[in-house]
Amino acid sequence: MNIVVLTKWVPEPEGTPTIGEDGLLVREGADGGLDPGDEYGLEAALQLVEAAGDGEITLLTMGPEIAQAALQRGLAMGAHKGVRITDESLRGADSLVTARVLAAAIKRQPFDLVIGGVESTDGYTGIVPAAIAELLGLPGLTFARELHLSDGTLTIERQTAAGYDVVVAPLPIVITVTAGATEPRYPSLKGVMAAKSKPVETLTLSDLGLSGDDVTPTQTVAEVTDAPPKQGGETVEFDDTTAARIADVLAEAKVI
Amino acid sequence: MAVLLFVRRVRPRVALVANARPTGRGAPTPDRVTRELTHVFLQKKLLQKLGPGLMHAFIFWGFIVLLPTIAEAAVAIVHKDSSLPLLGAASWFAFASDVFAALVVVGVAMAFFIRKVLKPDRFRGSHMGEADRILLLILAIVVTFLVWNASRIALGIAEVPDSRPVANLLSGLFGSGGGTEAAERVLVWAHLLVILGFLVFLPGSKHLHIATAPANVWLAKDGPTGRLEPNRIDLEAPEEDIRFGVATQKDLSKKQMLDLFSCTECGRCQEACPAWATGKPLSPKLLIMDLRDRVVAEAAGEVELQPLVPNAVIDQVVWDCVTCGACVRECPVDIEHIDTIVDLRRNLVMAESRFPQEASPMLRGVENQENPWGQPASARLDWAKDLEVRVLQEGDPAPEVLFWVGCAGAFDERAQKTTQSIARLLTAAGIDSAVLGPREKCTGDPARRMGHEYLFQMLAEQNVETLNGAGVTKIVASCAHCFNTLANEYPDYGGTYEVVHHTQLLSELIAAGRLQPRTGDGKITYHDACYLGRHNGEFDAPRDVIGGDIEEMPRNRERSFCCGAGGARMWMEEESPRINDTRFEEAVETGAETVATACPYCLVMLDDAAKGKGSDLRVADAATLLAESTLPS
Repeated sequence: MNIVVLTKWVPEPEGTPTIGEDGLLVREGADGGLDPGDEYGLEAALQLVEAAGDGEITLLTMGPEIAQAALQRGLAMGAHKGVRITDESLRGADSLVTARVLAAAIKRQPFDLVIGGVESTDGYTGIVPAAIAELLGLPGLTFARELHLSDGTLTIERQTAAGYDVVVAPLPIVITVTAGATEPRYPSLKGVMAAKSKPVETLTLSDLGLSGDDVTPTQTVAEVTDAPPKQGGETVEFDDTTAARIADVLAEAKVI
Repeated sequence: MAVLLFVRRVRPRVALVANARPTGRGAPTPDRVTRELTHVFLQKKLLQKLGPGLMHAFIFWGFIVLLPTIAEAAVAIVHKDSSLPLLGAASWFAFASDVFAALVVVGVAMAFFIRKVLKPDRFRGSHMGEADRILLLILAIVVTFLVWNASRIALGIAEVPDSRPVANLLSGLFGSGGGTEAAERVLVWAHLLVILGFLVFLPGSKHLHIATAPANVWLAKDGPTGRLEPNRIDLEAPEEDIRFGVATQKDLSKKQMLDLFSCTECGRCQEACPAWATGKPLSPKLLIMDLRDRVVAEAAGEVELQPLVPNAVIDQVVWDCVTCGACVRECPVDIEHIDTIVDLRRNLVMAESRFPQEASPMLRGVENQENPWGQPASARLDWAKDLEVRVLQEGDPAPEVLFWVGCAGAFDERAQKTTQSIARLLTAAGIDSAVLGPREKCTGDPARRMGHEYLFQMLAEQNVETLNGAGVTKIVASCAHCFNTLANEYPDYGGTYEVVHHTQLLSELIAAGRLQPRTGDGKITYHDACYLGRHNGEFDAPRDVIGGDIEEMPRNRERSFCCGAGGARMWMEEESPRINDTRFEEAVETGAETVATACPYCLVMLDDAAKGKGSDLRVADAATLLAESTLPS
């Protein structure tokens, strides 16, 4: 079984990113690494391969040199090989361009399953995996919190606001895995060392047969402004109405 | 014959120790000589328990005094009228051997009384039958010795008979006829045969400690027990050259191997262990016994060479340890349980990535944000918002004292109060101090105690670079774990500073009149932090900062009971009954209104216990209590 896991290098989620004059993130010299949201998809892939007893996991990413760190982390966790697409003309790529590039790279090899996170921890568009599914002409199953594979059919529990749906599809398909689905493994130091000798292929747009129009963004960043400061929360004093008020808050947040 | 059997039986064990990984310890140091004198010859650690200590001391001292009498008996076998040159005719030696032989009998009687009548729980899991056989052999050796001497007195062949009060008394049992002559021969043969039998029995038994314990005491760690031996990791080296802690017995050091053969299963460690006391599977004694049994069975080819976890001890045993050091302190033969446990953890974490999953966010936080809380470095100064605190920038002149805030002190709301109190007290005392702010990183202690030696090593190197670069010479740390790591472990990474704990600095400032002593009503008890107290020997400074009379808990100072957070347990789930709840109950029973602490981990753990129980007992750091009493609010 061949699984492609979509991965992305993101700036340190707890840090303050630097935005350049062109409205794009300055990646050079920034702290960062593998998107924590991608680790859930990778963990799911590792568990599928372990359960099946064989299979190969390929990490696929798009980004400059710095994105190599994200691949190394994923390889340390147990993925078998990595593919990184890098091209100067991809700077400022939007979601559609990203999906086209990744889909073109996925198509180069036979595959059974493409797994992505629900959304990236920097851009938060959440549409790349679905766009890839469309470009590949495959079913896209999203928000998977549980996965069961048998006889070439994947059954997922799809997380919804009210609970979960059970969705079934024959392979090959594209899925997204929710954060918190399973606790991603912490790589061992031996894994980190072994990752150094795992193969990583670096491709350019011409390697994928893409050019000019394919990678022209249809969206550009017009302006970046600071988020408004957080508002002070609500303090509920303890009395007879406290329980009811907490229940209301949870209901408003659609948690219960 | 017996000697040959002894050699044959002891050789595999000698080989195991001899072939183990070198320790780099062994050269004579003042500490080693002192320990050998106090721990071995003066039986200091045994006498921590007076009754069992005296029991052992009688047998041990008797054994030393009686050694030459083995030669005496051997000579007498050949020629019954002969005796040893010099000692044979010395009345003082005759007296000493007679009295000490009697004391050994008393010792054996005490041992049986303890084992058969008192039956302390510390023996649970020990080999009781084997101990009985050893005691009976010892008894047989000294009884045959005394009765043999009695027969010699009766026959009139004993030199200086008046110097042997006990044998003299027993000589009344014998007449002077041929029966006594025959009895004398039988007794001396019996005496020597029992000794030789003992020699054959020794190597396979826990009583081998008579040979291993003095060596084990010699090889024990010099300096504070809080320091762990580095396990250097160079990722550029070929993988087979890198040691990831201890996987199989091949990875054990000479000291770790000797530990296994020094254990007498006395169970003093088990009795002191907070994990065992709260019903966890870990007992330091059973850990050592299980490792020993596995190592011996593997060496004998009875079972295959396998990783020690889970084949000798289960995973949970390794993770239950709080590294409080109570076991190490109690052990009469200086077994270092913690070092072996951490070495086993190192392999599980670095080679296997196998550990309680709830600790994973801590490791990720230390790795990515350089603190276990996973908070951004920019939030390190949140506690200082309303205070004037000098933040040391690159290129600034070094302060007289660098205040090492620690991650707990920076990010935990409760510990922040301690940090603020210390900062205000330092200002009030006119101390030239500064903090590193966002440039401070976790010392690496939680990662190291968790077993991630490489992560610790990276942080130690980075922090040492920062501290050396800033020209820091003196550090005050508020967290007992930071204090221990900075003081005892950073010198291994090129960082040597004068490191004091905040209670040490504050007590000095009070003594010098630069701070007012605390005054106030209300009963206070103090909870000793393991890494300030037991591991580093500081018991008085925090008590001086609190001042006045302290309602001590039953377990205090060297024998304090852990809060449950050490050894990275702070970030692991614990089944009930919990260690912190157990300790908190002890504090409640003193009738105190406040329990003072000197470490943010203790503060958080005991405060959690207080909240869980809805108790009014207040938990606060000694520095907070001092600041409240002496500074304007």
